[in-house]
Amino acid sequence: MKFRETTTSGGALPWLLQRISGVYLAVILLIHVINLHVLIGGELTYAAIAERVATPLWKTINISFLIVALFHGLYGLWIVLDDYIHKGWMRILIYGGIAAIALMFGIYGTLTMITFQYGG
Amino acid sequence: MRVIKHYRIHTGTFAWILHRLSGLGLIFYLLVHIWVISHLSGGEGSFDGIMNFFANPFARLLEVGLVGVILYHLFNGLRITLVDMGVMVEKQKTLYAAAVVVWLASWIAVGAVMISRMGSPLHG
Amino acid sequence: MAKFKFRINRFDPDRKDRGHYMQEYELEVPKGYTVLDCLNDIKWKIDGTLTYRRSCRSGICGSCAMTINGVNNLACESQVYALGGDTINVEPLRGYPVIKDLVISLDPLVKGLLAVKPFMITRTPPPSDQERLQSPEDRDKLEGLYECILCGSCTSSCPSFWADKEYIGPHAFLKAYRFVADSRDESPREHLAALDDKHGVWRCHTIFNCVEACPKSLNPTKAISELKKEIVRQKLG
Repeated sequence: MKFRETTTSGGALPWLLQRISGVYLAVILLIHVINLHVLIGGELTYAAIAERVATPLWKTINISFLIVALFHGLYGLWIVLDDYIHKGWMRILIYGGIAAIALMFGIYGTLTMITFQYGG
Repeated sequence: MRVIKHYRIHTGTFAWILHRLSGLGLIFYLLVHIWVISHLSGGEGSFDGIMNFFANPFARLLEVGLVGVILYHLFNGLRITLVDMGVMVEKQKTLYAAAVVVWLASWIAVGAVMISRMGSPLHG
Repeated sequence: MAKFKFRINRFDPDRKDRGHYMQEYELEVPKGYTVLDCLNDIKWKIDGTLTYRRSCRSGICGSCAMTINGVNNLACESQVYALGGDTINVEPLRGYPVIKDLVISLDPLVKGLLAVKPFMITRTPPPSDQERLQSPEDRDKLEGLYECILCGSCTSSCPSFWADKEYIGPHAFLKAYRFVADSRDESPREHLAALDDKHGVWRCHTIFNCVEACPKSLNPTKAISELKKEIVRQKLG
């Protein structure tokens, strides 16, 4: 029996990022929840949240939350599907689909945040 | 006689299956959430409209469930990260038990607040 | 003595049309009998066609690993009375191709093992008058790593292996770390090379089935977490 060829296809970096992003999400989620449900409290109407969402600080936090959550979630989805889908063309299709969703929702959500303005 | 195809579900298998299922659910929620928040672009009427759509007892109860799913994924995820760092690998069942206790305690605490607020006039 | 019912997975390569099926044997089992003792009793007294691997009958050779009541273990280390219940299900290790009855092909196990270069790699010549020496402290680092008997229980219990037949497997990871952790090995990178791969350590989802299954009470998951850290450390420079 031959030695398997040693490959360097890797996986270390995404693996590490998945853990770091997970911890980041845990922290930011806490901030998100405290901000919305404790500091603002009450019903989350436009009037109650718009002013805060329009500030550059919250825009930055929200966009980072969005991007990191999308990465963590969709890379996680890929890890799950990677285990069970072995046909080459299916893998390409699904990989492409996940990338498309990431791009679409990433851009859509970021635009929502960036373009948001609150006249006061 | 039928061939048995069952491997015993150990603690770790159970934790892993729940982690995957909760993760899959959360991706779906994340995408819906991005869509809901995008209504901010449409101004006050658009945003309050979609928020009102979710302001019913059924959606609120789903939200309590969502918090449970998030918290499970969060605390089990921290457990996985600790194990990957080499922390308590030999005491993995104790670590999982701790994660479950923290998960349930935090879910009950947050859930109780959510349910108590549900009756208040602020939440339709 | 009490009566036990053994439900054993049968497969005859010459009668492929019958496929896999379970066959039942009833047996008077004396106290202290292991599952292997019972299989011997069945083969020698009831049904000579029953096929399984066995050799040392004392937990050293690793030949008689099989799935007993839904958990991988050595048949020679499974006390029948300690299993609980009077029906005992015996199946071949899952995930491997079945050759006959309880005999599986170990090719995937060996393939995974070879991927990590399971031998000490040295560059410098050995001392002319003695072996390569190691301090007692360095020797202690190999505890819980070198004892593996390569029975295949861990890898066969791993959902990542069930999902990916190319998965290198916890048995090979444990072996890899046994050499990475050895002070005398002069090229740990060569053991790690195959592990930073989609069939390598990243497919381990810390499910701990390998730890539950290991008849030698070793901890492949711990070795895997050390390997993950080591690879990341090397990547980050």
